[in-house]
Amino acid sequence: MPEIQLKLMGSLGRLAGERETRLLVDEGATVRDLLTLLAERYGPEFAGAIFRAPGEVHTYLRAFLDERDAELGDRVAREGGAPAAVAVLIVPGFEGGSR
Amino acid sequence: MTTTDQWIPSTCGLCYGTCSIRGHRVDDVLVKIEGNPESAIGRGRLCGKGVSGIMTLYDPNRVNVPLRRTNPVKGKGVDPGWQEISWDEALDEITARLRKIHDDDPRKLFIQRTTTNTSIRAPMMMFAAAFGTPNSWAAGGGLHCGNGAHLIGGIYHASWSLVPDFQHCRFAIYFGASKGHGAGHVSCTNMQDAADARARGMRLVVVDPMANFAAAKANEWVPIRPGTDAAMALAMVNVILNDLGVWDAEYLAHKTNAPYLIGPDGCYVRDAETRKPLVWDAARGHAVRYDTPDAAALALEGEYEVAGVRARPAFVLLREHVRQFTPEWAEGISTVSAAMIRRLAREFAAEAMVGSTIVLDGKRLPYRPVAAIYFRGSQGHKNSVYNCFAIELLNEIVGAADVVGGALGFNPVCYGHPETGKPWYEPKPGPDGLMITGTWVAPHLPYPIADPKPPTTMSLGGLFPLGMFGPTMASSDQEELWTKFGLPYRPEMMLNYGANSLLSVGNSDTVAATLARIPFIVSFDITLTEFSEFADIVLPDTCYLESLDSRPNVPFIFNHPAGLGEWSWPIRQPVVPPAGQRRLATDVLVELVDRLGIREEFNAVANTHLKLDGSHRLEFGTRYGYEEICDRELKSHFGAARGLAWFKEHGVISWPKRVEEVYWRAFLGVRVPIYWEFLIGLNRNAKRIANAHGLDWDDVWYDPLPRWLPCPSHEVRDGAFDLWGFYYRDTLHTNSFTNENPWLDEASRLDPFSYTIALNAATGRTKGLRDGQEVTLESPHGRRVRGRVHLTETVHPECVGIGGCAGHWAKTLPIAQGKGVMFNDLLEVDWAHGSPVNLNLDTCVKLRIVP
Amino acid sequence: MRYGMAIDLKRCVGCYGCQLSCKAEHGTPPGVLFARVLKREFGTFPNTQLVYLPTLCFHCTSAPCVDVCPTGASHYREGGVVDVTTDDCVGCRACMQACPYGARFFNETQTGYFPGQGLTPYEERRYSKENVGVVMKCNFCIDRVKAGLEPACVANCAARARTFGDLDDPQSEVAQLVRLRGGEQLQPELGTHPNVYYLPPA
Ligand code: SF4
Ligand code: SF4
Ligand code: SF4
Repeated sequence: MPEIQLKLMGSLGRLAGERETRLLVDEGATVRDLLTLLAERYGPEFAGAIFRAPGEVHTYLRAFLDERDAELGDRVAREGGAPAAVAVLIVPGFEGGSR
Repeated sequence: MTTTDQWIPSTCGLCYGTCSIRGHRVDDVLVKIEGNPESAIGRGRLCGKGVSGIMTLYDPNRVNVPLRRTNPVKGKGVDPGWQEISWDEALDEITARLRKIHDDDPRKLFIQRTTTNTSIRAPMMMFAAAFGTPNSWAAGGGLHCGNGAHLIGGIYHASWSLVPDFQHCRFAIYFGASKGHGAGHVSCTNMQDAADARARGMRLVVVDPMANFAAAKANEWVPIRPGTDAAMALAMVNVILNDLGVWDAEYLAHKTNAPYLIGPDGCYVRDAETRKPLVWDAARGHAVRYDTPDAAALALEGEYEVAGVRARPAFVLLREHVRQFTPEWAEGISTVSAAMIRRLAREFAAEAMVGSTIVLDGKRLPYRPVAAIYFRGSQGHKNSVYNCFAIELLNEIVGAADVVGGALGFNPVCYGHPETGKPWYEPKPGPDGLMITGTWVAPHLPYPIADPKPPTTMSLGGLFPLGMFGPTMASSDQEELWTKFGLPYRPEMMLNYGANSLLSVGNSDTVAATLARIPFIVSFDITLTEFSEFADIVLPDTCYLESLDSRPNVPFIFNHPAGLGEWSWPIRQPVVPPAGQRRLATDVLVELVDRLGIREEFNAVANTHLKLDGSHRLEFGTRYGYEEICDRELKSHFGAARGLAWFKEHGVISWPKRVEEVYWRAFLGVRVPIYWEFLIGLNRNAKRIANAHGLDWDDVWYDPLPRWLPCPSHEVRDGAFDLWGFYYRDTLHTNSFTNENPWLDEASRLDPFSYTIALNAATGRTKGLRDGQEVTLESPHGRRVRGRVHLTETVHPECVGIGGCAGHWAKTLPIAQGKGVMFNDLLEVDWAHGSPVNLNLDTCVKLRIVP
Repeated sequence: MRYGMAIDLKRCVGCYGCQLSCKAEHGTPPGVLFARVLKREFGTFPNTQLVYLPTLCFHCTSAPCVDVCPTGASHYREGGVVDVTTDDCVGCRACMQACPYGARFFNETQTGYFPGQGLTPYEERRYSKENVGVVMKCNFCIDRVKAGLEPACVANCAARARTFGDLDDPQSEVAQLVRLRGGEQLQPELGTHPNVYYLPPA
């Protein structure tokens, strides 16, 4: 299983009780899979911050893969080499419009 | 010595209107401020405040050095014993305290900012997100300024607020709004557009307890008792729908949820498989999903058997619901005569010209030249949601929303500069097909509405997802409510930017008590205010004429002119260099980010929030000064050649607006709710949580259709309190801070209203009062203010109106001290005066005059 | 050539932009307000109207202030503009008595807007000792006009309520407005022949 370097930014770090960690993810795991995993790992309050409703990720959630904006369907796992750096963050719901 | 003579383009900061300016600087002295004719924001013309900024810049009472208090005792009028310290000393101490909180529980940081300087919003919210605190508010702004009006503006117009389409509207009715009359969003451009509309012959009816500003320019003034706008508007809706039988079926069927089928439980009847709401397709003779592409005959009337239940289109429920709101009933509540309500409803319906179209730029568009506009007056009450919802229904039933001539949100759609296609945003359909705004200003979007949760923030926001800020940030019962909900922390530190919450929230004793409980307060200030007296460290801020920022008018839904014309994106830049040790607050904030080691977080938020892209994104690990961030934002939007250097020279970039942007409703497939079905589930879930925590709950606030609900002032039974007090905006002043500007103070002293208590002349005579006499006003809670009465024919006989946010007592504000009347000192800040649906604080109060 | 102004009471929203941009343009000391905004109520509740009445010197064609000036300091200049030659003013204030419109101001002292705190850098630059002890008044921003600009109060008015120009030219915007909208002078019975006209509020 590939390893990722995870950073939980802003309020998520407090909810999780840790700000940085390394995690093993499934081959082919997507951002959405990772979020589901994190929700289980860190419990209901954390899950509530990520999911608006079951399976529905908050519009305020942003994930970054090696500092680039990541979509929910993007793969987080990288074959070989250094582990991917994944950062997750809740941004305020202002402006935020994009294509 | 040679003389340098420059005109420097920048942005006004004396109200949140942020008009574009040019500062005339000779050598190092600012000698004149004019409007910048190259910008759509103000179009080269300013209000009285805008041209007076010189006196704010050069106020000898400005703070020039960081200060630390030596007196541990905090209270109103208590001298903090300021001691000068160095920036390093100040930042070392602030960093140490912030770091401790960050490691322990970041929620203990309480961030407060003023609404006046819009440019601080983004950096402060970015800082809050990076730090990890949800406890942030615009002091005074959020409670009563726009919790309801902005929510309704967002849900219906994808915008912070709305104006009539000044270029095409023929009949506008304002409910407690002053758009176009010298205050508020887009103030200066709106003044021009409204004057043109008057000259063109747009009829304006203003419903307001006072005939000042908008009502003074109206064709008709309709005096109304404060807080009763919903009653009048609902009666008008009733007349239009049930007596006149006028509505825009096409608009309602395709742009709202009027055709959605509602079951006996009040909820949508949903498709079993997709859970999408169903509508009745009369052509097919059966129910279909609301988004069925070729469904054209969506029923607005009738009753149908669907999925085993009797179901009716939401529109039927609305029509039936409003039948109870007769004009006679509304007269009893609002004092507006039934005959007047009927006539205005008739005129509104007729002038809407339902079904008519107009061709603009080769495109045939709906033409509905009527607009119902609500703002501070209808909004500043416990029942702000229903007040604004009810008024908005006038626009919705005749299809006059974001179409030619109708009520326009300011710029909900932008397709960007022709060369770069940026900035780009548009509303899109969300859950159940209802509109999600393309861009927004507050921490959470108006829609979709989050599931209520046991509150974990100071404002209890989680439980009240329709609200923005709540009274518990500064209420008399905050501790009781926090205990009730088991808030696991208390504010330990406050970071304040320029807000004088002592004056801007409610009565100062209540606010003072909440501030005194916060162990450590840091405040960025330009002068020492009543708030600063509670601070532990004061940091000398640059004023707007010494500041830099790339986005004074962003996002465009906040204070960019509506209607056709031009887009303008200006910057703010120093017109003179900062004097003393003043520092740009945003730069200090970025330094704190770095000192705290939350640079990665901050840069990540900045990339997202400012929409930095390509090579202009911030690398997570690199430190950037604020100027560099501004440069990158501008380049991200306007190309590498147009960075900060280009903007410093040119001041503003402008490009033409398109018909598809301004009159977007016809082009986009989004719907808005005339029936708030989502309130049913919200009520159920929120009530469960509230009851579990011992908070009383009243379902009446969560009905999917609006009704008039009384303010606490309407429930005062003691007849001795025979007057309604209300606050209004004075064009000469913004929040509390312009009272210290001596040019504006001079104008205010000469103005009959600025510093006085406006009382109806006949009422005054009955009470044996003379014009100019000193009186004390007293609330049922024993709050008192003192001031001179101005007897006038322009106020409702039951009311007293007090303008602005004056009545300073700080010795450090020698110009402002002792001038005018602090209306807010009469207001309770507690749960009973807040809305149980959106936390809006009520700002009308029953009063009596005591000698 | 007769400079004049039309002030549209329908357009004006009482924002004080004129009063304060005039102050900024001329750097007038406290209490001196060449341009002003007055508020006047008409009618009784609820049939009432609050009218914003922007004012300035009316640059009267038969100006009593000029007539009474013993030194000739008050005089007519190009385009009928009424001005004061500061050097010639002895501060007798006869003109202030004579002006029926309260358009003249005596500048007593050189204290700035922050009493007891000295002058601001702006005031240092803009105030002039010559203006102390003399009468000051609006001069239709004649220096701006000569430079091809509008008077400050006109250029800044957000509601575009003030229009300036040549009343002798029937084609000028100001002359047309006065004609078409039925512009009225204030207290024409005084025989001062003001060159400022008010266009009706309704
Ligand atoms: S409206 Fe506001 S931003 Fe515009 S000039 Fe006046 S004070 Fe400045
Ligand atoms: S600037 Fe114009 S709108 Fe404002 S008060 Fe003066 S004349 Fe009226
Ligand atoms: S308004 Fe007064 S000061 Fe002006 S010209 Fe007429 S009389 Fe003289």
